Amino acid sequence: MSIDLTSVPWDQVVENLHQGIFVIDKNAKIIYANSFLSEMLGHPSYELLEKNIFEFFDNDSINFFKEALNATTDTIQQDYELKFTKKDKTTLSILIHITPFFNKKYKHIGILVAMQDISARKSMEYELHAKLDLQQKSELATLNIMEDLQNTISALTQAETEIRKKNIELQKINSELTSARKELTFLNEDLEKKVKERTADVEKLLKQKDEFISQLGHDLKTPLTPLNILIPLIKEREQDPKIKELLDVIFNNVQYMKNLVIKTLELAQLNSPNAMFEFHDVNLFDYLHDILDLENTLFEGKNVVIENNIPAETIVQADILQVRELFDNLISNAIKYSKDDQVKITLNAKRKDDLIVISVKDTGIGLEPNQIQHVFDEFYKVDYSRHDLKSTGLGLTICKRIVEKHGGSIWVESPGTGKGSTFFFTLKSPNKIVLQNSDMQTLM
Amino acid sequence: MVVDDNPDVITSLKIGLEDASQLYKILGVENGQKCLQLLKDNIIPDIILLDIMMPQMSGWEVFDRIKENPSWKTIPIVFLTARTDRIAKNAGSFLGEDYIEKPFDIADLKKRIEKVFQNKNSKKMFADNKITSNR
Repeated sequence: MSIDLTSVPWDQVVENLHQGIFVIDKNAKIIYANSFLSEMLGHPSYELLEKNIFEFFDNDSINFFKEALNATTDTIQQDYELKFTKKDKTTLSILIHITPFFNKKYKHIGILVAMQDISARKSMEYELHAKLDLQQKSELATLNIMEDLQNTISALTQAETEIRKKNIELQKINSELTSARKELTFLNEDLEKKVKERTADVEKLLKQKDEFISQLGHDLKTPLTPLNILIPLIKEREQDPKIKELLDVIFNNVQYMKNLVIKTLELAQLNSPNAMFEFHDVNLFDYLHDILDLENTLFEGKNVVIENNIPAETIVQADILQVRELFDNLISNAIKYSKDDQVKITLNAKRKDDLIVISVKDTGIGLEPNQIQHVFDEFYKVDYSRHDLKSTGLGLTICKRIVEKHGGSIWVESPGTGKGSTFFFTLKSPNKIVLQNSDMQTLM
Repeated sequence: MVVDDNPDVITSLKIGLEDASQLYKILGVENGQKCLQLLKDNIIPDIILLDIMMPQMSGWEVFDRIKENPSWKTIPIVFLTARTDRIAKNAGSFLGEDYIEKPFDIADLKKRIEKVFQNKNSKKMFADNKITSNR
């Protein structure tokens, strides 16, 4: 069954079409608008009809219409998207399809415009675009971030590798250092041990040396005793003066040996760290007054005058036995080193701060400046050319040690050969003890 | 009485003191044990010259034994010593009547012995006086 198309009420069809339809004549005047269009644009048909279409559209849209109106063939059928501003100022997006109209004689008589409201679609599209855009942007951002991250990661990886390398190097250095430290510690311990061992060895050797000297000295003294006693007896009984002379030579050598042994022992004892000293307050004037009477054994038959000019109240802190030794050595030296038989020895003492400076002045052979430098050296003898059996070369060394053990100093002054010499030494004066005594007296 | 482990020391003292002066009679003893034995046998000398460094029994020990005994303790003792250190000097001079260092000469030894006898006599006199005054 077929429908006769001529019987279809086309005007009604168009009127009810769900699409906006315009018909515009050659002069752009609106000659038809369906109700859907009126509704879509918000203008009732009376506002549209007989009006120029250009009144309702903006300039860009007008151009589409003008083009279509000027077209000569029906080939121009085009879709356009354009904007339409409604009376209430809301904007519509419209898709238009323009078709030129021709009469039966193919004369262009107007255009047919079909319109479709695509605002919803458009806004969706817009949103979609916006979303897409955002997505793109975020993707881009993500990509950027990823790239950055990758860069960072690769930088980090590189850094990590380098750190690992450095770490390995450090570990190597560390282990080298540790082993070096171990070695050093070991060396140090070894060294310390060796030093301790050596120190102990040296101390042991020094002790052995002291013991050896002491033992040797004592062992030598006993056999010297019979020689010392018997030689003078033999000399006494001997009549032959030549043999008497020979016995003198032997006896002098025995005496020399005896002195050497005694002085060596004394020096060894003074050098020993175990040397014992007992310091007391000694009135030097009184003490010397007592001992000078005994000194005549040292006089060797010379005419010796000892003048004791030491002030009566001179008190020193001293070990009596050692001070006796000190004066014995200095006085016997003064006698020994005088050319003639007249010897004058002057003793004096002066206070200097908390020290007492004691002087022993003689009228003997005196000393040259180069001799002054050496007189206190061990085994130094002023005159080597003389075979001097009276001097051991140890007397002044012993004096020096004794004075040093008392915390003092010793020196010698001489104007030169033949002009005598003066030995000086210092001893401490017991200031505090004197004060304490006076305190006690005031208390009493 | 001379107590010394070195016979040469004894010999030289005999020659030096006994023969030269005729004042002394020397009894030489070579060790501490013999010295004490002689004392036990009631051979009491006027003075003992005592060596310190002797093997087996030292001079110190002999000294102590003699001074412990009431009937021997008045015998004067002079130490003969080769030691010069302070302990020996102090002990010698404080414990004994005197000390003399080896090697010594006869003149010095004589002086010291005479001094000891003098002291002994004066002490004795002092003691005698005391007794008289008590009476």
